[in-house]
Amino acid sequence: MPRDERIEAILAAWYEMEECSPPEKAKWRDQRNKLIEEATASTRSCRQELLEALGPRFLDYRVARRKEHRAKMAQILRQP
Amino acid sequence: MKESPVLQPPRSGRWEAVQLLTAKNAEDMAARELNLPFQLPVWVRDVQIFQDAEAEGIIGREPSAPERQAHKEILAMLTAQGEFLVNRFREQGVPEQAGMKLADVEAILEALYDKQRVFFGGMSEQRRAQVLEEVFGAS
Repeated sequence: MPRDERIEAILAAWYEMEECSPPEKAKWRDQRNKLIEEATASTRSCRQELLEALGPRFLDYRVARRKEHRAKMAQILRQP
Repeated sequence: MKESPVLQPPRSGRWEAVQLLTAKNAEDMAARELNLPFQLPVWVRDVQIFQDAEAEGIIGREPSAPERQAHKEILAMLTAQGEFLVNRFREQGVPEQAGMKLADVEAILEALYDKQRVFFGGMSEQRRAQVLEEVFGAS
């Protein structure tokens, strides 16, 4: 999988882990961590380091996804 | 850009509210007669409110020094409360009416620790680039 797609998959699972309903938290946490373990498998970096390194990208990603969500909600509220 | 029609409280007021809720929760958890089935949904709600405040007031903006400090303090409080709950639930099990498993509570706590790393971890830009290059290759 290309670099950007692997990063995107981790960010998407991380976002779901934060935003999903409480009974789905473990499922998304496991999915995110599995993707991270796969990415770091043959490297010297650990999960914590990769999460910290991806942190700024994740925050940007989160802002973008929330904006999308709010735009959708606003559209629904404007509907008669 | 046009603002969403959903009304938002002012940024400082929002942080004040989250701080009050979290402090109240901490007070309740310190009470002699602890009501665990009640404390869990309260903590989960506080974490959600905190995340909303964070998304509106911290990420993608330039927060003021008091806002940054409030964010740090509330995150530390919620993490400590989560540790307390997870430890209790490991001994006693999660109440059935909570509608979630211990692993879900642990995942919420793990997300709070991740936030501490992301916001306050202190990784240098140079190290960040090194890690990303090592794991994903050059862009």
